[in-house]
Amino acid sequence: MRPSELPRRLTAALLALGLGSQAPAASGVERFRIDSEPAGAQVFTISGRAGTTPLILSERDIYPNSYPPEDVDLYGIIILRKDGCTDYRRRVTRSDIEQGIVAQLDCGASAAAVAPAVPVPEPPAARPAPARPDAADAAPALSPKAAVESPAQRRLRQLRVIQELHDEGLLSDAEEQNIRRRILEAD
Amino acid sequence: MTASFHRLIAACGIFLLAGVFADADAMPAFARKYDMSCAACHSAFPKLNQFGEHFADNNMRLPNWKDGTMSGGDERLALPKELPLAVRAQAYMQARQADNINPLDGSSRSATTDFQSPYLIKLLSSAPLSDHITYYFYAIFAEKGGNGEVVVEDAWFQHDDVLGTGTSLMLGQFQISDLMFPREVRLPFQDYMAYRLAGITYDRGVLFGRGFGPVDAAFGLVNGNGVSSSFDLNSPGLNRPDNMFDNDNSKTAFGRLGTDIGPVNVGLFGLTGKQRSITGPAGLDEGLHNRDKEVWGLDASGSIGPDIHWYAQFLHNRWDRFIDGGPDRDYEWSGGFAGVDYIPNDRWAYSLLYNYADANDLDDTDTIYEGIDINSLTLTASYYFMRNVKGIAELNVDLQDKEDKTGQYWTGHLSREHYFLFGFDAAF
Repeated sequence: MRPSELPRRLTAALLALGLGSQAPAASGVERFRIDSEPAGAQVFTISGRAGTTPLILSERDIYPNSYPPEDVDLYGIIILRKDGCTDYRRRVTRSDIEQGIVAQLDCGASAAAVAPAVPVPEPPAARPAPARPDAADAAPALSPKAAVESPAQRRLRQLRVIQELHDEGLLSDAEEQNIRRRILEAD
Repeated sequence: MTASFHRLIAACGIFLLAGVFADADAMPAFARKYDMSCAACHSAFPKLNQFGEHFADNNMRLPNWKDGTMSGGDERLALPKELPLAVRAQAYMQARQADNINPLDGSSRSATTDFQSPYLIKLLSSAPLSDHITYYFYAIFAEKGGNGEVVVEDAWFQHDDVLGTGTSLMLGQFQISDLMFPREVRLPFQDYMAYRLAGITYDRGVLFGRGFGPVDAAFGLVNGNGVSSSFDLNSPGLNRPDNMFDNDNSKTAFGRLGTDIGPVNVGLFGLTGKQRSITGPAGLDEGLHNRDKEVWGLDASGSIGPDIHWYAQFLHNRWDRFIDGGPDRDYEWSGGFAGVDYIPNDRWAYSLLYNYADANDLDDTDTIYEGIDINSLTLTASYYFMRNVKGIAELNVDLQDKEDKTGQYWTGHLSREHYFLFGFDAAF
């Protein structure tokens, strides 16, 4: 091969290598399963409503490459919501992705809080197909914050967030008190 | 401007050859510490996604950073439970159409193929050490075949809230150009050449950062002589030698203002300092004087949809009275780069990078700085076997016309330089 032909041939090879590819096949580490007790809970991620349990999500459903900056506190979080039950919130870890999540919803006075994730077998064929955000319910996806959130609920959520930040040492006592007062005094 | 920088340029003969040194970073120690997938911070390793940039802006920590520490009951102690180490390894095979030309006698050597394996082995470490202080460093073993030496590049402490002012302070060794587009998280193997040519990569100093409403401001001071030079100082105390990293009495000041204008992030960069003049045959030797140096730049970046990210950088340089023994004049030149990353899925990433630089006033100076002539296009395809292991194929096309020797020495763009590279890149 003459030297001058090298770039052209290599370009062709590179393009053939790249453009001839197909979308990735799903692999075990890229998708994970969410079950709940009881089943039928709506699952919300930072991307909006993802579907109803039992559900299979991909990592990119909870770790999108871009998102509205004000939603950063929902990054990597799943929230399960079911009528009559307390919202279930969990930061998804790598272990969760490998093993799956079984959420014990608090639907009564004595329900358990957050149950540890346990290994879950592969979903049988009779189970619903993996749900993706674009294949979820026909209703438009709502962000967890926007979904039927009253002012009182929003206030409660904000108070929980600052409590978490305070517990983790990211807010001083004075800052936490100041923000708490502003939240409570807000109209 | 350092002697080592001169030697680097001379050793490479022509600038494009110098430009293919990749040093990219990813930090699996964070994934282990926080029990998170690499996908949380990287759209395609080592490129950061929005959350990865947020993580870096937050002093490389999550709110629960203390979970992975041990205190032994001492509330003023937060030792990482496991030593936060990670490894980066790269191995390549390259086919190149170019000569390594000695600028003094014109002798040349060429090897059309090369197994660059290992190309790089790097040990990285980083962790939060207190509520506001994080450290980060990495050391390179055997980079570019350099067995028998270890090179430390990034090495710094950062406090994210100095005196409660909301101002961050980084002290240590870092790249000035990280204020714009960090070279370490680029997808192509090919470098952002304008940064290297302008001499705004690694240096030792301090960097302050703060947000003012929609504007992010950064200001820094560095020694200005890179990370290789030092000299012995013996005056304080009897026979007590000390090593000074700065080999002159000047410091280089730099800063950037950045903001979002709609979907586009734009930035204005400026730097002023001094550099050593050059002298000797082909300008290969360090000169006798410290001369003024100025750089200013414009950068912009944004996304088109969820899968395409673009970026562009322009730099203008003024090197006052740079050449000893030459005309008493100032030399100006400009350059930049622009690129697009397309990440359609979790297996493939494609990148297009265009590098440009024009020697301008340095043309016909019969120095190696005539070689600041770049016009190249690089196409990169990355295939991810795993989140942290990828194969890479890259084609670089030199669009610059080959030039004939014009002066006494063999300087300038005497040979076109195309290359094709294939290899593996992993972080674990």
